Amino acid sequence: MDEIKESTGGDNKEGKQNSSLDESFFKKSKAIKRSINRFWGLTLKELKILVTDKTAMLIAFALPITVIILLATQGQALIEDLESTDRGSPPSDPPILGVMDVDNSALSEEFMALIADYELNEFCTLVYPEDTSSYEAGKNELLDLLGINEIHAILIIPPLFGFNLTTHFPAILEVVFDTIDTTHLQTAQEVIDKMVEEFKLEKGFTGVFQADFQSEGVPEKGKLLFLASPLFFPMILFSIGSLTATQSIVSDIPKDRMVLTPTNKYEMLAAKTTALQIIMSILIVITVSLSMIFGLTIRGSILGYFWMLFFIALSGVVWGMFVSALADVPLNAFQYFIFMFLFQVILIIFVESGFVLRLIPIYNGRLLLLNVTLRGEPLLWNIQYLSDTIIETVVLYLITQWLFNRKKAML
Amino acid sequence: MSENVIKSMKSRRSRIASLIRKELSTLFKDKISMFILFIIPVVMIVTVGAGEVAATEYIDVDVWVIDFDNTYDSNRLIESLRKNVTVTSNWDVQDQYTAEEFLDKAKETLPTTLIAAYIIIPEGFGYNLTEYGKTSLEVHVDSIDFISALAAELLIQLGLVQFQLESFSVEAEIFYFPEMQPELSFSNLLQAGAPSIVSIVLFATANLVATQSVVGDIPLKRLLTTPLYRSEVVVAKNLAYSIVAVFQIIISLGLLKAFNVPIYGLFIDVFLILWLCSMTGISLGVLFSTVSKTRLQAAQMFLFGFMIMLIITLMVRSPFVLPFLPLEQTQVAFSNVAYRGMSLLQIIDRILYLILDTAIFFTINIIYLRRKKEFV
Repeated sequence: MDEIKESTGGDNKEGKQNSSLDESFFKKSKAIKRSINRFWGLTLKELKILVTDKTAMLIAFALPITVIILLATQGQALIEDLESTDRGSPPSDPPILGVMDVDNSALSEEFMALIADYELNEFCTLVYPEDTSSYEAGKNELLDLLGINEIHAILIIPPLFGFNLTTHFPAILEVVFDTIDTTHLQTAQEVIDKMVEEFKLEKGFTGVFQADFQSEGVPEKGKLLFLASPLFFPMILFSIGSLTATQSIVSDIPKDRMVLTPTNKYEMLAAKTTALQIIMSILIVITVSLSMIFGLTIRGSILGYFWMLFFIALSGVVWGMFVSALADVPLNAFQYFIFMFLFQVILIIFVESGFVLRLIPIYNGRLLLLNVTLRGEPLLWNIQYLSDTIIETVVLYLITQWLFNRKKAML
Repeated sequence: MSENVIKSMKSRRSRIASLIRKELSTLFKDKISMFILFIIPVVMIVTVGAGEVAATEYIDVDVWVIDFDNTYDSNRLIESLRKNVTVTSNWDVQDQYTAEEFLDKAKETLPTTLIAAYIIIPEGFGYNLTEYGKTSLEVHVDSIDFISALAAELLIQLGLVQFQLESFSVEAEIFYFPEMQPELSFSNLLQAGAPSIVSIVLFATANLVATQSVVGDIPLKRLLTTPLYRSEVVVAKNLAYSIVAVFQIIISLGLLKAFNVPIYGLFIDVFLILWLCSMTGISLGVLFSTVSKTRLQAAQMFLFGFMIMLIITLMVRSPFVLPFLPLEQTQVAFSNVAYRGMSLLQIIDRILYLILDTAIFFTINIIYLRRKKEFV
């Protein structure tokens, strides 16, 4: 009997333990359910707030769309020219070249005629020296023009140009580029290269090695979009994400009352991040699809393209939230944003390498987009850029949460 | 009559002066604003000034060579190329790939960062060279990265020239060895990029800070119930921010001097160019602020304008739009005065464009503010 009693007592104990376990499990699951419900409610509320400012949303969505259309339509105009000339696309901002024929042979005149044809097809603008009495006088006049930025490069056909070529000897052209005007350096060099190559092939002056240099990798269709997208897409998405997020905490007045409800700050921050990231995801889908429609050639997968931009945008959102948690007034948040944004832009444009660049999400995004999406490299080769971005985003999110929890303005 | 006009002018002037004082005191009271306004140019300029110019002469160029000829001459060419670039030929990997397979691999690899170019030496290369003194060669260069493509082309050309010199074989060909004028040696990044960096920093900071000037001015609504003209508000805001910009520019120029950025032109000319750049940013910022209803809208307008301007200046370079872009005009004007020693008169077109931009933004602002109903 005692045994039975003991066993029943034991059963009762176990039963009680079980029921208390069930109860705590039930309570916990109920709490989690409530927390999820609150989180979704908050996310919807945040989304509603974001969408309410229609003009702000319109500008946010208009930016990538305008940029894509601008780059694509500019590229389209160039392709039309390309089909008619077979010399590749003429530059949108043609360089001004100072040219002089000192040789005055039949061959040099033919070369000058080809150069003039380049001007006719809007590849460049030509400037001839007024004083052609001597080689020195003409060259000095052109050098003076180069010195005051009136021309971007000089091309001189030297004496014996024709003679050397007809006697099977190499002819060396005199080419001078402007060191200061780096904007036109690339286009001037490209145009002069094209002229020389075309003349060499036309006349068969290809030297011992009839070397056929073929530039590959950049598609003619959507060329500008291809060249600009790795830098500007991450820059745009990061900046929109961070700018919109800069106001999410500092300008959120009802949050002070919100803490009086069962809502906790972890849910509030998660909801804000999720809402912003939903908006950013829509923006990314628009960017990806529109760029593909306008002829962006990618060698990687579209899904990969989406995820690269997703992580960069998420990083932007978290950076913005961090700034928002740090700032005391909305104006300060904007000022922190400009500091962070300009710092990144300047470093990316002017600094080519270095450890500091790995901390910059736009830089990581640029390399991910360029190498994985456009070049088609495996993600594994570029994993450091993705891991740097993710680690930085997580660390920054934790710091933001800590700052948010410590905010004194909250009750 | 004329007395009344003078009186009204005087009172107008004193109202504007009071408004400027009010704007400045509000700005200077905000310690964080001041700190950021001045710390941004300092941090940017110091960071870039501390950076070294990339050593382009040490660019490592990887080239794959597919040799279908396998003669003494083709091997000699590969050795000649090895002096300037890192060469991997099909003979180096013959245990893994045949020449055809290596060519396929090269085609597949060219768009990646693994190689900068691949060269095909066709069959009969050596025979043509000895028999006719001429032979063909195919060079495929990856042009995605401009710097690497340029380096690859130049180094391959150099290898070909060296081969010809060693074997005393010459043929009719056209070369050019580019000369750079003027000869400038930059010891830090700032010296190379000062025109762009300073114009971007000054324009962007002035523009963004000014975007909050009207939309974030709460007492403005009450202020407009006084005899104050709306145009006076615009004038005062523009002038107040331009005074702050003066200090920003002085600090920036001091830092440029500290990092030995060459300024061959007059210092006052450079100052004027940068001040006009800031003024364009301010007038555009105040316009954005007037047009927008919330702080976020104003900031997003800044972002929109700045990004589009940056893309057109760096990439699109449409000749019809470029003259109206303050960033482009400031960069060119700055480099012409600072690096070339040109006078203001020689760059008067750039100056006029900057003034025109400011005038356009300012006029639109006044017209819009006059019609804005929210203040009533």
